Amino acid sequence: MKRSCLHCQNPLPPGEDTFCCAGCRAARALIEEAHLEKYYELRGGPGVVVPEAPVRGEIWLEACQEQLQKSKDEVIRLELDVQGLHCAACVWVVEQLFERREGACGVVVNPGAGKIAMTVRPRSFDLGRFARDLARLGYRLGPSSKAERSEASRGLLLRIGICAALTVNVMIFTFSVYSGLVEGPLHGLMTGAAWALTTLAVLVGGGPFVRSALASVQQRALHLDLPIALGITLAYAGSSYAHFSGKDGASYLDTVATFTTLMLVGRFLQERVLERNRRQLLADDGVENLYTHRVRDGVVQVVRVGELQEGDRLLLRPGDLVPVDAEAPEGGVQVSREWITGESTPVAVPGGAVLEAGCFLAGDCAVEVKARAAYAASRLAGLLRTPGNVREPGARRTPFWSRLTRWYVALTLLAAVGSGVGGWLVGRAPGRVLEIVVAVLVVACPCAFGIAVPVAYELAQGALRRVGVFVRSPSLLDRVGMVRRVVFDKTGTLTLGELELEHPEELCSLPPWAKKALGNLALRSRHPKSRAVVKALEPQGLLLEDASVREETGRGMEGIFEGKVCRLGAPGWAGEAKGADLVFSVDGQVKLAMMTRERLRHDAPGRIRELERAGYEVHLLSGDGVERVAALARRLGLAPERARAGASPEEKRAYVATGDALMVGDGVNDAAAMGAALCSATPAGELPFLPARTDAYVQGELVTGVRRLLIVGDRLQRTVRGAVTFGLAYNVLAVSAACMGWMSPLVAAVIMPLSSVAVVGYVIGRLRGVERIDEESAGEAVALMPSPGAA
Amino acid sequence: MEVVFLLVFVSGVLVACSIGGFIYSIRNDEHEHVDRLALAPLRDDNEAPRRA
Repeated sequence: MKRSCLHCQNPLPPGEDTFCCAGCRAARALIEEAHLEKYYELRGGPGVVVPEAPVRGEIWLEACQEQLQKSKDEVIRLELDVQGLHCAACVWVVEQLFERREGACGVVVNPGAGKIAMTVRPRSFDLGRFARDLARLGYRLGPSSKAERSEASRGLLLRIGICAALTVNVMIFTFSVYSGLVEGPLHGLMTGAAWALTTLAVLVGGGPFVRSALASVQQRALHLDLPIALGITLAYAGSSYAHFSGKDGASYLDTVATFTTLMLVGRFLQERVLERNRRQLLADDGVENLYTHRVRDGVVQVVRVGELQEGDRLLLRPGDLVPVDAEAPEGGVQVSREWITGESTPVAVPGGAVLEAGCFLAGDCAVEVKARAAYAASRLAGLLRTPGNVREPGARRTPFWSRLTRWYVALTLLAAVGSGVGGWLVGRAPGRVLEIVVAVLVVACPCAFGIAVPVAYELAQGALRRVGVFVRSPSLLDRVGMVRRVVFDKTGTLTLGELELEHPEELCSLPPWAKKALGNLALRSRHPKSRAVVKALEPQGLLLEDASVREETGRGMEGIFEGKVCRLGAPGWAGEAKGADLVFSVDGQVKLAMMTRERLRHDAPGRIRELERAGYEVHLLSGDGVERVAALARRLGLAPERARAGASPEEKRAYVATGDALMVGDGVNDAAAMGAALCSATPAGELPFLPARTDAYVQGELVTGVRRLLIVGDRLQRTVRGAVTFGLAYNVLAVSAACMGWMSPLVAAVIMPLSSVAVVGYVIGRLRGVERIDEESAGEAVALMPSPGAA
Repeated sequence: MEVVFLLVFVSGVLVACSIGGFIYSIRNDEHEHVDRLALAPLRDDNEAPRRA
């Protein structure tokens, strides 16, 4: 039997028997520690997918905590944005974690708005600890910067409620007519009440469609709202004419009210899908919430990077972002340039040289540097200004659904006009001609387009959300069907930005004291290679001992243990060793020659093979060196010609600007490529503005998420095509009958909602549980590959 | 027969009331708190109501 993760229920990687990643392990541990197991019960399924990659520290929290400490109030109210809230279980677990913190008074968690409002005692409440607890469960706090819910969305909800209440009553009143009440004062009362309520429903519900249709006419573009608005207006006018002229047979009052309400529901779903996704993520805040430490008059201040000026002194801690070009301190520092160039190995920058904006400090201790430029003039500011969601012309293609809509609108209008002209030519009375035109527009109501398609998109996006894939761009799910090439960046995307020992079992050959010395050297360094050693030694137990250890920048660590000089560092400095990139030596004698490699996301090799089996071309595109990229391609089983190293941001952009590529990256050096690609995705972690600027954002297993995005997108397109085909077939039959004058109000009133229910039922059946279909059968992926030109 | 007119009038009043209630609920953003309000029955009876 296939086993799944105890937290998120994703399939387990080989060799694991409980959790799929460290994130899920930590989340489960917290839930058990705090006795919050009811969380799984309330969710009725797996827990929220947790990011596998570690998230760097967030300085905005310090600014917030500083304000709390300075507050003189006994109790204060704090409102923050929160990312990842889905349901009642999320609300419950956040409330429970809050209530257990000292200084917590009250909390209102609002998943609809993605906000949390807390009342706390400022001096005793530890906001940082609360944020870390939430992060362990996959929720991320951010400064309150999301806009309030739009009035348009709220207005639409109001219109739906009012129209639904009116429509139900119109149906009740009209039912008496269908039951045989055709004359008398009671008949007058029923039809009069039905007309009055329909008038209200049309006034309340028709407004958005009429306004949109008028705008489309002004712009000389055929929009779906045009036949909807025409259908509502003409059907209402025809029904009113029939009502006041005493011709019940032509009255479509209940159909008009139902149609208006259903179209409003479709419109609301369309708008809600995107708004809900936006609400579940932190705001696209650019650099608004990017902070750093500035030293002024001996005082360390937390300031927004946008406020930095040339000459400012900055205090950078290990792991901090270098926000502006700065001067390296005397003695030099180690920095990681993975975010701006994709190079995974930290590099040494000598004292006085330029520290490039966008680097992360990789050394072991905090340093003070001098800003060489204001933030506005830095390269980082330019890169972050790149609007990732504005696609370049090559990547812009109209989805089939949009093209079809234009044809549909044109044909519907043509059929309505044709039936009217035909009726007039054969000498029918004007009233009868109007009846036929109205019948054509009512029965040709675009239910498949207006309701079934929004429902399909809502279901698909909901399914993706449940597995940690958040779609931000309105047209992404239309575009993924055209993807033929999946292009992955390397560092931070396929790899976790960490190193591991290629042969950790070699450590067992060391005597216990040497192992202890090696562990103590490695524990005192933050260099990725040292961390790889620590990780490999952890299962054997590590104790930090009092010892004299020093770091030699760019070379390694040196310490004295039991009177012997031990070194851990680069070959040449620590000792000569061929085929190794890390050496441990004692008194100059090499005890262990190690080779490190980048730690892969655990799902990458398997999922990439599945993508290739499904017919996608998988490419590796990196700014890192040739050897590392080639080694990774070999580990992933990618052909050498599909792995490109040393690519600059411009080269990356050119590589993916072919109109068929999905670009998956995480660095600012990928921003241009993301804009040029057909679509883009990015993993969770790091800073919030990159996820906010791509088409999709994956929390949890990245490559699995990408594969699911492709599968769901493809299933969605097939479902939409099925629904549209059904709708067109129905419309051809119904419009033909209406043109011939065979469509009575009763028949129209029955088949119009029936057809809507049928097509919505089809959509629900096709998309239920779509997010998990890859788990049932990996082989199905072959069948899921879209045929060329299908989109 | 007249009772039907009365019933229609009463139903109209009920519709108006329900629409009024709905508008009040939307204006107070209650629809955004459905997940939180859904948990209310799970809380202990003696637990004090919490407000932020």
